[in-house]
Amino acid sequence: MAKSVRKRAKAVLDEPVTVDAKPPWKWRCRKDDRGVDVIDEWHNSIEVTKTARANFERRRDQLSQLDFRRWERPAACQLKDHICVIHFKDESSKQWRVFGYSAPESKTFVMTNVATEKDDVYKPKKSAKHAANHRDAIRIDFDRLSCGCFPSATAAK
Amino acid sequence: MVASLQPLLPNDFLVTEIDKFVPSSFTQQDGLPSNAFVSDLELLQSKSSWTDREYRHVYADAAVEQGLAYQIRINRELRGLTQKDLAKALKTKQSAVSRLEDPDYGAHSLSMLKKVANFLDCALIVKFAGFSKLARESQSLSEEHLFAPSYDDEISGQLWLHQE
Repeated sequence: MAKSVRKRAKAVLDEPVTVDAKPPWKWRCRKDDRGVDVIDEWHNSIEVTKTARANFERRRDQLSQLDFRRWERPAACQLKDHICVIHFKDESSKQWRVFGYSAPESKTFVMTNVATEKDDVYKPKKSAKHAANHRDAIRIDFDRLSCGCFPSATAAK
Repeated sequence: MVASLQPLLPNDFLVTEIDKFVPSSFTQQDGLPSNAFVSDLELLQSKSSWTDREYRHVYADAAVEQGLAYQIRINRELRGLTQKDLAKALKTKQSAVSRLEDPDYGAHSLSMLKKVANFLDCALIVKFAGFSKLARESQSLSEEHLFAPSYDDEISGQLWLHQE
């Protein structure tokens, strides 16, 4: 193994393994003007199959425990200004996209809107722009326009 | 001391033995204890959607598919290897390695996984488990958890020498 490889591996090995793992990312969902959690509403809709929900749950479990730099393709992709898209599929290979933005200071990811993607085109087409608009609104009125969701278990190793 | 020993101990030991030393001072938040020590059963109970048999098995499938992809990618990168390097070692194409690292791929073969483990000089463990173990596994997905050291790195004693 190359020296540089061993050096990188050793850096990991030298990290003390303790109970106090890095806290996971917290999830929040956007609430619309009616006060309804739009992600929860989508999540419980009939078009979201069990496979889609399970793949999404596992994707959340995985991403919540990784540094944000690891939120990368093909599991997710980062757009400009902290906007990020979580990718997952259902059993018919329908490609779901959950848009949101990261608030690194509080290690929170706020999910704002959901889309599908086909042939590199989002449906709705302006989903990224909508996410940016929702982000701007939520930043102004965080507590009214977002709520905690999908709580992560705090687990011992 | 207990914390630093944890990697050496099986999960069952942690839950049953360490709990003896932890005061029952859990505070509830979102239905879960905020304390770092949560039993496998509590973790399982927190996965409310898993009461649906079909759903929990779909999740288990997703855990295998996505988990393997992330493990391969992270272990390759932490060894400073490119996909091309790994492909060469496995006598396959870079695109095949890219597929192995795609969480949506879902068609990893046992023979290919054994080749990857052999090249990385780590073990491949495949076993049946209860869903409480899967619940715990789902909370152990950080880079540190997914990293599988090579035999040489482990035997050199670097990993477990942090007990105070």
